[in-house]
Amino acid sequence: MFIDGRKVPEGTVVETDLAIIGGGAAGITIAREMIGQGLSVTLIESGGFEFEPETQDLYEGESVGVGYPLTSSRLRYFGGSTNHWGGWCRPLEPIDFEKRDWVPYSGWPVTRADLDPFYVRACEVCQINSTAFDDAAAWEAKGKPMPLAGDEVITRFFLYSPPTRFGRKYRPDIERAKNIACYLHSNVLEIVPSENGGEVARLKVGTLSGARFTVKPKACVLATGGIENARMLLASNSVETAGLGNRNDVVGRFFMEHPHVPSPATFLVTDRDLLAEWYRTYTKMEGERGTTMIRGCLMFDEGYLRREKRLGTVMTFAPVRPVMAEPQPVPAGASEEERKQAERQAAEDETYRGILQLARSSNSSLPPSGEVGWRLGVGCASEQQPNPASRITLSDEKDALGMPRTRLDWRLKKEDADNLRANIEAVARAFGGWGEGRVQVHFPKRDEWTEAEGWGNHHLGSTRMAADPKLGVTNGDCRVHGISNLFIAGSSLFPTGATVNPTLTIVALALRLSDHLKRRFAQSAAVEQALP
Amino acid sequence: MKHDEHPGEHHAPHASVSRRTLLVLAGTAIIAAAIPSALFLREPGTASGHAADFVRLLADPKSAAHIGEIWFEKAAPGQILAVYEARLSRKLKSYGWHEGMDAPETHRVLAETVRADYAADRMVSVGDWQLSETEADLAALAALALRDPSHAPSHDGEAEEAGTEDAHG
Repeated sequence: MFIDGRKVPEGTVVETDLAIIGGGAAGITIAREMIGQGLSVTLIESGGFEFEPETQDLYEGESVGVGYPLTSSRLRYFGGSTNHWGGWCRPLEPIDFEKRDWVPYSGWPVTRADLDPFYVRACEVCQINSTAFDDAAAWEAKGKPMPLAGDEVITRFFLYSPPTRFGRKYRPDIERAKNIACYLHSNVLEIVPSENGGEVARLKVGTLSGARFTVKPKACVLATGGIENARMLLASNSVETAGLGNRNDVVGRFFMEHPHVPSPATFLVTDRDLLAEWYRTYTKMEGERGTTMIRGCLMFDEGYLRREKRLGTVMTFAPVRPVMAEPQPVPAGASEEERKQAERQAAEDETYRGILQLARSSNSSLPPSGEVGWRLGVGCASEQQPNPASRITLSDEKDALGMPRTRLDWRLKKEDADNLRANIEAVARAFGGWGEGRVQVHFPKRDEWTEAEGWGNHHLGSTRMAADPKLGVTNGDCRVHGISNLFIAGSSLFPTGATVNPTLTIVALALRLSDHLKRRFAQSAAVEQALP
Repeated sequence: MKHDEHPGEHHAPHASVSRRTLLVLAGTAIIAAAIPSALFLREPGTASGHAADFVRLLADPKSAAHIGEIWFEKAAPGQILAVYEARLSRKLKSYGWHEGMDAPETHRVLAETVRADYAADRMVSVGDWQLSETEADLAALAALALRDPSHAPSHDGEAEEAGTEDAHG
């Protein structure tokens, strides 16, 4: 059932077993898991079913560190940021969950093995017909991985969600569910705890039209996204003045992204046919369970990461143009602009030709050819080190609801840049040793990294999980330390950012939290039944 | 610091240079001898006659020479043909090459040497291209050989090279 919050009578108090704040990938997943569980669920969504500028404006804020687009990097209506999601899915690597002595503040309170069954379920939620993320044999029909030299660089796969627009796809489920009431156009203004701060007592809810009502939950899940989760806790400060769950000053700290660099390197290969189709582009594969869209990428073996004390990077690439053994004449009748473009390209090609002919003369196994190779365009995303100084705080400015806006101070470190360069050099070793590829590094050495070339719209880490309350906002069950009935869902939980897109892990963690909540409510019911 | 002068070509210090300065310079020279770039300067100054053989291994010496020239422009440690020739000879010998070895076999040794370079992270940046040291030396040699035709492969040599590529492939 959907309810327009703007029409809720002033002063209404909604009593519910479970309140879920936020109707994005995590919130909708948890709500669906509760269908038919015998619990009353209240899902509170800021937007409606479509984009509305006034609601989206609630995301505006200050970016005072590495420049970051607080508004365009997320969407505030039913379905959340899945409404502009690209569908890239891949589980985090086992090493991503580990405490790595070369990565400060690393270590999740859960392991990859803990999450594995939830990743399988998350693939179903995200409408992916396979789980062969690491199994090249499953995709052999469209080629094999490059036999790269050494043990540093590996081929792995992204599997694509259609992408699932959670709002559209799962709206009927929420509509039909007898135990779920979804309040649209409804914003939680504060999570108000009990006097001792030990549990959530009520949620103050407001609409842009001025309506105000209250939700009283037995348990509450905060699932408003990787930035808003921290903002909401910090803004919930009428009882706990530093914000909810913030007695150790961790809320909002450790904000991370995946720095994307559009052209960190140029790859050359001696023959385009050496690249399986799924390296070059998004590729449809047929399997027993239906069609799966895949893409091959380069990642880094955990042995290399441990040995060299590196963080990961994921690289994708695509053929740009062939390089011929002989310079190509400017086409007859070319315009002045085309002629200049051809001259620029010819100058580049002279170097590409030199590199490729050098490779073909040294350890390539290919015979001479009129087409000496291909230039590949490269894109990449990297893990950044967790950094407590990279943080979300509250701005002095207020939004239309009277809530403090977000102030984001995203920080990147010199070490993050050094890491990316080192990983590109590892690819150079792998390509060079193989013989059929060479690498040019474009990403410069940096004394500091103050301006990002790109990002993934991935908001990570600002309410991180950690067993130790001094290092994290929630425990391994996603429950806020020190608050018995407040849970968090979303990528703000990630203690470290890993390298790949977070949505599949967001959904997997949400499914795991759902199971935990079901058990918890079942135990409470059993206790209540046992009481005289 | 220029690296393209052979030690033998250095001018003698001016007569008015003080004894103290001379001592400092002598000390500097001793320290310099301990670093790799200085070792480079101590390579022999005479060609051993293998330059043409090595350049003949290249599918397209002119293209390789272009890469060598980029290296000279950016960061190559010198422009003396005999030095690159000696470096290549030494490296290839360590992987089994010997004088008189035929082209296909030399090619096999070259491939092994280049693979070993990459495996051991013996890479140099040439215009930001990450090349094996051996490849970079070969490119430099090609550039210098083409500047001085007496070291470039003969026409017959180029014909042999084509055959070598066939065999290599």
